[in-house]
Amino acid sequence: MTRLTRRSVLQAGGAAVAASFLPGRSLAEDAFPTGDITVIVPYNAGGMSDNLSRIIGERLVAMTGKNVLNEYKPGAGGALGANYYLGTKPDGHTILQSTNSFYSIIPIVTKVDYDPKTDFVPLCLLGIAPMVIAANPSTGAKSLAELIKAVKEDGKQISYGSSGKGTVGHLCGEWLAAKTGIEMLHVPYKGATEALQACLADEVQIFFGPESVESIRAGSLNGIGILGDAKSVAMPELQTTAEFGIEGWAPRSWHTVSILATVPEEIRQKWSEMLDTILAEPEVIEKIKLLGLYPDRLSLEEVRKMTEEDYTEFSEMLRQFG
Amino acid sequence: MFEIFDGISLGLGVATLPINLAFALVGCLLGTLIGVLPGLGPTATIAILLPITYGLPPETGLIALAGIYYGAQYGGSTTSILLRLPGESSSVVTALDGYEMTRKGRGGSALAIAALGSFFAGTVATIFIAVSAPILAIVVLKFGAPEYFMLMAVGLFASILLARGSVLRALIMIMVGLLIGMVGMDVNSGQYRYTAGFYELMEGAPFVPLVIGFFGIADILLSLERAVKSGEAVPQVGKISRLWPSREEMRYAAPASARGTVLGMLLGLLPGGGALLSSFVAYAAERKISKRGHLFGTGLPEAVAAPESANNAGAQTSFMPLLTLGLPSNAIMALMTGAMLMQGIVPGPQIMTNQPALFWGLIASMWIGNLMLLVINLPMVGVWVQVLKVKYQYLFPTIFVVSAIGVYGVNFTTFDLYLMVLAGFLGYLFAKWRCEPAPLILAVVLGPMMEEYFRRALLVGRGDFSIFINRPISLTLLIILVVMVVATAAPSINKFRNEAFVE
Repeated sequence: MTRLTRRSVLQAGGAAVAASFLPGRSLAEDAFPTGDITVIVPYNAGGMSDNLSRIIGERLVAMTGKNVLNEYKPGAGGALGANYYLGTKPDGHTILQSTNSFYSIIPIVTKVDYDPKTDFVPLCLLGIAPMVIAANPSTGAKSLAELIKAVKEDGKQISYGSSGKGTVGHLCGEWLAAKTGIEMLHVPYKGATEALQACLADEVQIFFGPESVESIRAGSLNGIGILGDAKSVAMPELQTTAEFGIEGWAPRSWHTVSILATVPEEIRQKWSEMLDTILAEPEVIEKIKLLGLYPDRLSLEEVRKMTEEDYTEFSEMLRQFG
Repeated sequence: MFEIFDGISLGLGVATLPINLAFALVGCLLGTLIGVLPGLGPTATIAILLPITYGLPPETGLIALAGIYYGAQYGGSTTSILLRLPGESSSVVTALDGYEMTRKGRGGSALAIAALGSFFAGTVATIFIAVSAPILAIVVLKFGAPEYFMLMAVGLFASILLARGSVLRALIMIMVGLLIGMVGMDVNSGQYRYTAGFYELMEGAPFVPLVIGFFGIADILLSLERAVKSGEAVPQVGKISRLWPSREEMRYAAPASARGTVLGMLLGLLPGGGALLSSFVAYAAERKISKRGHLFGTGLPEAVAAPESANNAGAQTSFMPLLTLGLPSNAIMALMTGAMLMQGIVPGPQIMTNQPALFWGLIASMWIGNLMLLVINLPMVGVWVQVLKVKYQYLFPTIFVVSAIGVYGVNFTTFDLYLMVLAGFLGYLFAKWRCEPAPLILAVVLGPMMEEYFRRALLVGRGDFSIFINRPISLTLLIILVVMVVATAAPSINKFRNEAFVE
């Protein structure tokens, strides 16, 4: 090597110090990040993942003084971006904006190059997307019980829209239909926006997801419940399916930032610390809430547990309905 | 009614604040620039520049981003007209007659007509939005899968009218386009079709490389061939006679611009391809209405005015689903949503009442932006036309490199570059076979959407075809389609009858 770059010196120095003062904090860890940060966004610009990455990115710039670049790799429901991320340099400067479906749905539905159990690890929980159940007022239903009655007793035909076959929205419908014994027709759309619009237009009657909250507030849709056992902060009047009497795991969607498992442990640790600091800022929490997400804080151990649960449950569901 | 006037005066007050005027100008200039560069579109630019708006007041940020969006609509026509290089799908049809005008030495006139037509359309569309914003939301929701399918069917049929000459060749090109459109994921089953194992094809055949290849690159190859064979000047632009449109050209262009505006305004309201269709449909409609429809494709001013007015009107009204329902109708509107969220504003049905300054300020800035674009673009006409005087030894490599950068900038993958080159060679062969690429491009766009809406209509209709005739808008569109088919087929039927009687 004829030319010494700043980064190579730092890395070499860091490694040397780390070797001599283990297990104390190494220089590499303090110095990280040493260069610009790239966030792989595996969806189109302007989507939920992009918005989240921008909220975090803005704070990362302020915190590290480095540039944060978003690289968009949409395609194949996120698989294209994940595959691309697998091939990047594992120096910790590149992270993947991701959701739980990268661990539990995408690898089962699409052919991917990565192993969801070993290649990526989540760095934090950015937010949980509440699966709000919204119904077009034409159903006459204001609660889950009324919806079930409308279908079972009044013989109403109900269909629901999702952002595609094998997405969380689709599985929410299959899950609810199976647990309550009602029949619902699945109609796939190209994205959540289209599916929500179809619900507003009464082309489909039900929509699952956080995107409907504004329409429920405006009175154009009825909020009839929420999947799982967590009450909605934004809409506490919504009954959870757990309160309704459906116990156990329910389909869920949560956002995270993932990193290659081959990235050194101390850099991953540094990332988690940086993200924890950012996610504790009130302004960031406000913005995550605006996106319709719950900015819940969970430990990495809890996140790991959620990942495993989702993998087991979703793969079981996909075997049945996928 | 008073509410609207209050709104407009509030909006003008917001939009004419010095900082907002300044950022509108910056947005318009940037938009024009990226519009002129082929391939590089407003989506990528807005995605890159979004962080700059964080520090600005929400109105100012959105006004600047909106300026980029419609600035690109103006700029996109420039390369279409001068170099047959459409940067955006909406300026594909502009290339048909616009480039022919350039070859006749009327490039300056075509550019001026495009700019004036766009300004007229922008003005009318802004007034339309201001007056009818509250009820537009309802119209948008009247469009379901059956209506979209019928609309796409009308559009696809209209694409036959895009081609000069043989209907058979146009049909063949439509078929090829439909096949290319099949590539990618099928929304209904989630299965991938004809991707040949390429991840890059999973979302469908990428559009920009195809357009740049079929039109721009193919034309370079053809021009070079002509140069080698006959030694004539390339590009063959004739002498640039008068820069500005003649009175006669204006006489043809003005009514076409008005009709294009109305079509563009209405189609632009529809999320999911409406705005995209507007320029195609406006061109086809104009060709049917015009007394000299048979000359379309040889460089007529009305064939430039109609689609250019339509795409600009559509660009304005495509804001409405976002502003009235909170539904972004395309990628750019989705980015606008992101910009609002970063400012702490949730886009939704209540934005008009909760954020009146933002709502009306944005609408007022649309008109001001259009005025700025006219002022920017008219004097530039003379400058752009000078591009044609550049020797082709310099011009062609420059176009090629700039196109390659633009194409790469969309998805950041070299796959798209290979595809662009392949499409370029194919486009060259098509030209040799006297097949025109415009119907193919339209079929690539419309084919998959048509299939999606058709199957969805039957899905929500639970397999009953009557869903297409039970709904008034769908039925109306079906009747329009039938009338168009009959009107197109009638002359040949008459001809056949006449010949039969003679015998």
